[in-house]
Amino acid sequence: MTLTLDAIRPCFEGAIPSAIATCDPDGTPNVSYLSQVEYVDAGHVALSFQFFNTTRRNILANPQATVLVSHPVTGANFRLTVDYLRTETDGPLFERMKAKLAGVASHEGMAGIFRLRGSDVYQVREIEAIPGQYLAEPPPRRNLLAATRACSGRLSACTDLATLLDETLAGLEAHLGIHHAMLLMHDAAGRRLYTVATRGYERSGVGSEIALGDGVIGVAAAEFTPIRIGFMTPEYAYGRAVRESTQASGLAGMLETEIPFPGLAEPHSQLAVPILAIGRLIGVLYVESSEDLHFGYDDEDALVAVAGQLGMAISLMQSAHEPADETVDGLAPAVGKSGPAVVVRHFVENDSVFLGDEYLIKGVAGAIFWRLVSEFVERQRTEFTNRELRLDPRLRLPDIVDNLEARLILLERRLNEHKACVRLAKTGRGRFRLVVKRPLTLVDVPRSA
Amino acid sequence: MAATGEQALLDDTSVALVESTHAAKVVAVPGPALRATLVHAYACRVGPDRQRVTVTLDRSQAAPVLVALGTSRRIALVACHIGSLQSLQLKGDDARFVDVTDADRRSAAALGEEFARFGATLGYGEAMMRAHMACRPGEVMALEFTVRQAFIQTPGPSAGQPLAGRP
Repeated sequence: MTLTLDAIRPCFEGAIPSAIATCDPDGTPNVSYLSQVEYVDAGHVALSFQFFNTTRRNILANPQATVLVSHPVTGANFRLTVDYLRTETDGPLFERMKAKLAGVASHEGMAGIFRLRGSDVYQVREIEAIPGQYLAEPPPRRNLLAATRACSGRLSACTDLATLLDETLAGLEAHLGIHHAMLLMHDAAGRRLYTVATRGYERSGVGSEIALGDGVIGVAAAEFTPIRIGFMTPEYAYGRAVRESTQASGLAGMLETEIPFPGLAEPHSQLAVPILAIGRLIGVLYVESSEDLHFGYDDEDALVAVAGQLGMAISLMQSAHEPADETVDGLAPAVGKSGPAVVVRHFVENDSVFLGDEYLIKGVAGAIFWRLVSEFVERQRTEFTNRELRLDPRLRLPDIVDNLEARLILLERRLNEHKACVRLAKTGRGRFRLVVKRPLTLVDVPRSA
Repeated sequence: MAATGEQALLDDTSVALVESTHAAKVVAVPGPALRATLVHAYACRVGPDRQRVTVTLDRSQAAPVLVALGTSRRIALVACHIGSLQSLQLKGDDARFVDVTDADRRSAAALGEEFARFGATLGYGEAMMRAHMACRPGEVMALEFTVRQAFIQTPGPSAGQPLAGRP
């Protein structure tokens, strides 16, 4: 039986270092260990190019080699006959390998020494199973295809975005055994992602943000490719990503408006999968574990399939026409507005909103909230439609894809988490009610000179 | 045979690394049409002259290497300590098969055990490592070559530098 590359993908997880043999044009052999061999597709692998060394010189002069790889569970060894094709120094493959190498370097105490200069892509001509007394492969933890199907079924049954987001994470836990996961939506205008749903954390972290390109999640979003790391590495940790994005925004020190990212303090395995639909980025599905090498290529495939369906479902929900504009001008119902007034402060600078002294939200969701409470205070309105928000130029929603529903979910969840005196309650498709339990005093803080 | 008067390239540290049971080793030779091939090596020993190195291989695992050695005697051997990643590459041009001694067989078998035990302390599965580095007793064969060149291969600024010869 002919071996295929995808049948030996565990060999490319980086658990056991691989080796490459090359030869110079005069026939002198060279052999060296490799930090990384990456599965590219059924016919190609990519090798990490880190140093200008003899291997590099040889492969440029004589572009043929043999690579020795090992299975991390059975111990089995394989020889790959490969031909060098090209080197990629940016793009999805390069970023995937760069992130994975950072994990390997950290694990091996080589942080600062291992640096990816390029991803050398090789065509695999032949795979030879090397004989030996290897272990039998144990049965898989679960049937990933069946698990993916079960997740898919749950997603298909969802009729609104909030349920869809929650069911995705519930499905991952129930069928794939993933206990720490989150969903982030893409804010194209702000070039960042904001968290709308999480599962398995002490704090939900809904509303926390990651800039495109920062950390595992930001790189996955920027490059439209899954990023998977099997070992703990500070280089891709969120603490740093969040801190840097705050500094870059110029808001550091001005207001405490950062919602802490909810991720594990020390994630040993991380996998971020971009949620794509019709060629555009919708968001990122992120999962993590406190165990080394917890997610493999097959897990990545399963999550890419789930994220694909999720992306299409979100896209369909976003494009579904809401009911024609029926002016909803409901006045405040008999909601008990008792107790002292709560001061709602809105900072025009970044649309951040504070309830009393507590930070609530910023950005588009902050602008939406300010509009709602302003309408409430000025006109006693409590009934609203998504459509009127979508058409309001003050909210600066993008023309094509506004993610309005996702921002309303984010706002609703932030209000619920704060046990706020203002809540949002869905009253129908594209409609919701503002429920206010305390008198409100609004303070609009203008942009500083 | 080592050329008389040649300077030994290997110092005590290098000999210890090459002979270490905690070092992974791979042998490479130039195959047909200058495509190099490779195989795991097991126990290694360095002769008293510090120039001759004997490596044990598993014959059926090394089949392409044996074929290649029919046309070229050039050889490269890398040894890498799996704990420290201290690495060394040795090169020669006179590789030849030699008789396997009982000591070679014992060393090859012992290496797999020692390697697995040490690997377990680093977090590798011991059974997996034993399987990964098991040289089957009936398959043990040995190659010998003279070290003509030696290079530091430990990742870092010194990687690729020749190992200076010492008297």
